[in-house]
Amino acid sequence: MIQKKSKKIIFILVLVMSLYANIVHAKEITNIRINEILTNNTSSYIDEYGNHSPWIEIVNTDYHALNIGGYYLTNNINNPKKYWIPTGDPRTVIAIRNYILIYGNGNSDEGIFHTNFNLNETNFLALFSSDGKTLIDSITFPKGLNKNISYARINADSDSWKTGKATPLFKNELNYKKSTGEKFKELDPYGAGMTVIATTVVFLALILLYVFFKISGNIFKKGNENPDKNADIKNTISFNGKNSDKNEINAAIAISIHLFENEAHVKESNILTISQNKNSAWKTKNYTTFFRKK
Amino acid sequence: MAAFADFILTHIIEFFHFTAFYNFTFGHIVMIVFGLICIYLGIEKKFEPLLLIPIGVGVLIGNIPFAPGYQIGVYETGSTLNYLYFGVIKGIYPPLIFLGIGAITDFSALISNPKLILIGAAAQFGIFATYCIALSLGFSATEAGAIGIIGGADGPTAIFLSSKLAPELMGAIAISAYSYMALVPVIQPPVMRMLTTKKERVIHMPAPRKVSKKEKVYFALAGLLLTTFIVPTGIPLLGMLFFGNLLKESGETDRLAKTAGGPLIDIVTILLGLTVGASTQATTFLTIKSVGIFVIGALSFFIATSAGIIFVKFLNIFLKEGNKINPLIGNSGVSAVPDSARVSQKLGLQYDSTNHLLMHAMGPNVAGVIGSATAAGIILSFLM
Repeated sequence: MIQKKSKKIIFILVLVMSLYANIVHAKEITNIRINEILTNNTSSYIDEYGNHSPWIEIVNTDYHALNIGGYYLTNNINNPKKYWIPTGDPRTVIAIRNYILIYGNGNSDEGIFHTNFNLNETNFLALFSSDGKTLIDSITFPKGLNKNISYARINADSDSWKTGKATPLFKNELNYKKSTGEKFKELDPYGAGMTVIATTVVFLALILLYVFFKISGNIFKKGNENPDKNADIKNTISFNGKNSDKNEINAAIAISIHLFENEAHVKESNILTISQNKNSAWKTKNYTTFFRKK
Repeated sequence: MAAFADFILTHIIEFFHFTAFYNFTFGHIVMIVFGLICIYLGIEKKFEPLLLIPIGVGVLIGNIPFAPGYQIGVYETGSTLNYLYFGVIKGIYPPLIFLGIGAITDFSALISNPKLILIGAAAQFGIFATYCIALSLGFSATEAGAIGIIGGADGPTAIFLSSKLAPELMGAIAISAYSYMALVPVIQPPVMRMLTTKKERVIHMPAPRKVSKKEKVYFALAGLLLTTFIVPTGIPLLGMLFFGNLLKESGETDRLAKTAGGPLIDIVTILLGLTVGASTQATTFLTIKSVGIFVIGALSFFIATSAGIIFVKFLNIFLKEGNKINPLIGNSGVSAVPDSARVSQKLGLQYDSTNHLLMHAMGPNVAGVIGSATAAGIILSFLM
């Protein structure tokens, strides 16, 4: 009796779980949508081979990542399994509210994101689930779209489609907002405004630098009149003894070079000046050596 | 035996299909010849060898035809070249190059004679005149902005701006900018001779005064703050330029300055040159637009050089005798450092063997770097 009861419970559990799984799967696949297509690509997105191929943008409108590996793309409703999106590649997982591009160029040997049919062969595109029977999404698009003009949903959640500027891997809403550059060209078709404003700003920035350094230069010039102040580093070396002038000078040079080589001096210093200190103490010859920048 | 022979033959044919001999097109040949010319100019003519040799090799690599699907090409996701190219398309390399430029540039000439800064501003007129020309030829505003920057004669800035505004034209713009920069010694002298008189060419300029370390440190800090406060979009370039310069001038970060101005800039130059070259695959590069960009690029160098020289002549009207500027340094307002300054020196010596203009020309030359980065910032803020 207990065995019969537990069998019943297991059966109900399996039923509930499979129902839940089906609901989740159904929800998942409705969140995968064809979002935008571009059939006449001359300057839009380029593929891995540097070619301007037609492309299909697929969006995941869900709030968790979905994998389209194993799904089918087709341009013929009677042949739903025309292009199988391979499984096992992490790139087929579409992140939350994100997009992937598939190139509809008919060269499937170029990689998994290249269909075996050309998007321009027909004006139809459909996405089937991994069973090859469940239609997830389909679209009939206008033939002969202008160069780089795509056919796209007004936004990823909408069922309305419009033509507009291609926005691969971006929100379609951007289609309907002119870019700043386009607005600028409309208002300033010959670029005269840009030339005047931008040249003025460049001049303004550099005039500011000019004024600043004109003023600061005058201040520094006054400060630099005394050569001692101009020196980067100064060392005073004292020597005692008679008839040792030459040796002392040589020693001063040697010590200064030693300090210089041991990074006690500023690297750029390249003038060595040695002067005898007139105020040196009795019997002491005091030499001041310093390097000055050129 | 027949089965074996058939097996071998099939595989040999398959192997042949993978070779470049099977996959090449006329476009690939054209580009390979172009790459070889770049290498020739770099080695034999010594035109910007540090740039033209990596670019030339990049062009060769990018145009060796291959069977797709093996993650080889620069545009193939996951290929080595694609990873390296990431630094170009995301605008990472140019600011790093600017860091290095800052760390090796001595702004003394500019600081000692600040009016030379204005020549660097005047030469940027070339950028905006080129923008107008590109617009009138039917390019979109963003494309025209990216093409216009060729007139600034600054490769990293050109790459930075085109990666933001017109990534699909970046290869053509970069190659055009670097080619003309390499050809500065050929392009500029005729324009300089045309726009100056014999009397002007022998003007002697007073020797620049000595500039203290403290003044140079102030320059780096004030330059950073003043320019980026006006054009915040220029921070990636200007910020790095002045940061690099501060590393050099502070005297306390010698090791960092040496790295930025030595190994770092060398590594980035190799990566930038190679990947920009490789991005010129015949399929994307050999277009009418690329031809247009090359023609407009040549014009932009002509305009920028002329604008610098004419501006010096204009300034001289207001300057006293003895303080006048030799217009032969006007060409240096374009930022092709230090080639355009060398052109000034060479031409100056041709007309007066005692007239050394190099140090004077370095002033507008480095001002040109600041000016073109500022101009790039303005274009970005207007068109992005």
